[in-house]
Amino acid sequence: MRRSTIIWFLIATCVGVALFLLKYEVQNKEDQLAALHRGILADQEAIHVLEAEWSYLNRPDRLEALVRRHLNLVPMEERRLGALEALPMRMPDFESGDTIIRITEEELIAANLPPLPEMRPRHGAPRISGGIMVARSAPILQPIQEQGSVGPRISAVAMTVGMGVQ
Amino acid sequence: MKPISRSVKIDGVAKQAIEIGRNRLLVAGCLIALGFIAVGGRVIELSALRDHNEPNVATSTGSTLTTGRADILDRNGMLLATSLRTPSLYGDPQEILDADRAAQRLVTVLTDLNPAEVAAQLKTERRFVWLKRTLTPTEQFEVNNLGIPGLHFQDEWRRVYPQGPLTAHAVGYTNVDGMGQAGLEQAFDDVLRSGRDPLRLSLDLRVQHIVREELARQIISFEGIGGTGVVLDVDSGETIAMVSLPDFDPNGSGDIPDEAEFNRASLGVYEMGSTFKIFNTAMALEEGTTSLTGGYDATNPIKISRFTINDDHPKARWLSTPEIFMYSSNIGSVKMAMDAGTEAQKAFMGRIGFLGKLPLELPERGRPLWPSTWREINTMTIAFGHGISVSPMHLASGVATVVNGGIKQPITLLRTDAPGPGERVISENTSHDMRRLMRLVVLGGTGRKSAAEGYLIGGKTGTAEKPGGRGGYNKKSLISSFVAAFPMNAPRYVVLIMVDEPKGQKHSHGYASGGWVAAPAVKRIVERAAPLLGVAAVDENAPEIRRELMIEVPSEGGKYNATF
Repeated sequence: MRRSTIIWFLIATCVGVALFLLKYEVQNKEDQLAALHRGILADQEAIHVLEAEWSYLNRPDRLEALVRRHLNLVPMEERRLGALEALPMRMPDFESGDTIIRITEEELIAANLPPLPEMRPRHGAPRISGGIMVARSAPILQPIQEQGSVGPRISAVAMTVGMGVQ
Repeated sequence: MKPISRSVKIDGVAKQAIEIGRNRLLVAGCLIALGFIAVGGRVIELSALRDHNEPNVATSTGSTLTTGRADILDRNGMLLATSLRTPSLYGDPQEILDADRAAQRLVTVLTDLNPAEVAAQLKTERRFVWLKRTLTPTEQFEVNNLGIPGLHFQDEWRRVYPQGPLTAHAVGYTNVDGMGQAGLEQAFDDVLRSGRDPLRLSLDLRVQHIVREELARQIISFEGIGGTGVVLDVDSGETIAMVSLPDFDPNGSGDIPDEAEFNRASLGVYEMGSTFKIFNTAMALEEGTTSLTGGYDATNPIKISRFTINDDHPKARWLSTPEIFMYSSNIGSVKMAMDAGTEAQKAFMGRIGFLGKLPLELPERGRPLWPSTWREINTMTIAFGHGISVSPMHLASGVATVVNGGIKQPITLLRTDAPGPGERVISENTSHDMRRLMRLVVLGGTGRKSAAEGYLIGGKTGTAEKPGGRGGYNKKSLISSFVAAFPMNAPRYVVLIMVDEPKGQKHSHGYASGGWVAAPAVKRIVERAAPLLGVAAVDENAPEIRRELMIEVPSEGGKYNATF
């Protein structure tokens, strides 16, 4: 009887202490959670303010004034736009091994290939009749280091960006 | 207690006391055990049974920001209106020691306050008086530095419009308590106050800026009193830009002048003048009473009762339908309308939506003015845009219907990704004819100053006299407008520019007509905005475009096409 009482008493004490510790642990966690929530809210509000400021700083009239003052960009004009078809065909470079083959329309039909698209004739350029000239060239990426091919690439970039240099 | 009393009879006093004690202990023990069982059961229920078990994911409470009012964004997600937390200053007069001195010191920091008023407020018997709403952080810091007891701050949500006056008429504004007072803020007040999702508008801030800038330039250069500019998407009915000048800054706390608050684009109704010939011609073509090869004799002015209808650019000969449209002949248009008939005209105006309010979301919508009894004289004047008043938004929406293949799409200020099917008003063929006629005006008619190369603009000028006193018209005060669509082979956007009361200038040789005032602005707007709207310039001389827009002008025996 006495021994069991002592055991029960010990168990009760242990449970009590454990409960006490647990309670404080939970309270701690809840404080932490509340602090985190407050932090999240504060961050969200800061983001919110920054978004408003971002929008304020991105006012079109302000951007326009800044561009006028610091960059030499001008509004894009129609003549700066071009179509891919308007680019002249790359001239074959015989020194680096390009060859010219002539495919006639009969050969195309015989090989069961669709007719190649024709280019729109440019201001009085002679139309090649009786077939299509095809320049077999080196891979298209190769000449990027060469001086000559840099020009059209820059203008292509300018086309995509939609701005030209004054 | 009955068994106890029975045992009393049987046993002695000592035993009886023990029995009583034991029984009471038993009862108390049972009660306590019952209590423990209840508590234990509740613990098991809470921990194991409720929601099956402890949830794996904690539910967060109150960790999302609620501003009390949802944001408003443009179609690309730029902020047009948002709410920011700002401190407001209030005083507790009971805590104030020396009201006069407190007021004197306060106005050294908040210079816009009146010291006498503040002192009077601080002497009242109340416990709460607002001193100043929405302070800046610097002002709050300075007031705190004064260290006056009895002054307190309360955070409030304040509506902020980062874009200032740019979208003032569309977005509107709220009062100091956050209630929508105008524009979409008023129309969607409930939605904005309850929702957390932002309201996404169809406006494009960049295009809006371009339209506002070009419109302002024309108003200044022609000394106009105001104006409006609209850009509509012809297929979806979305409003890409809507500008009304003069405008106001919705952030300002002061009173907005009525003139600036008035939305000319949707609330103002005007007699539009010759731009109505678009609808007159479309109606006649649709009715089949006129064809592109037909025409009318425009030699003599038309006299009806006390009025004489004459042409502004008289040719005094027989004119074909394309010429009537191109030279904006009033005489030809009147004859065209008379052939189609009064009933047909009224029905057409109703179908295209000119006899009722617009389906726009704004609370500021003008009701068109039209004759209650539609007589012959009304048919005549409506043929060239007098005697019926509609808002500029009506006009732009009508032109969108005419050029987009004939489908009326309700116009909207909200971004719509999947527009509805719309309602057919005119046939595909009539729409195609109208596109060619409108292109002709830009190539060889009154709208030549709008020709932006490569964008295939087509449009119609309008120069209307404003009604003056005594039922007549004032020759000096004009409404000059130009309504256009581009690219004319497959229209994507409608642009409308209207300037109120422009005056003739030296650089315009004294003219203040739509072709001089509004058309150049449309040209610049299209040139600047088309790349942003994803419309590429094309070769105007390409054969498929020439074929698409070619039109015959019979009387001159020649063909107008894209090479003109």
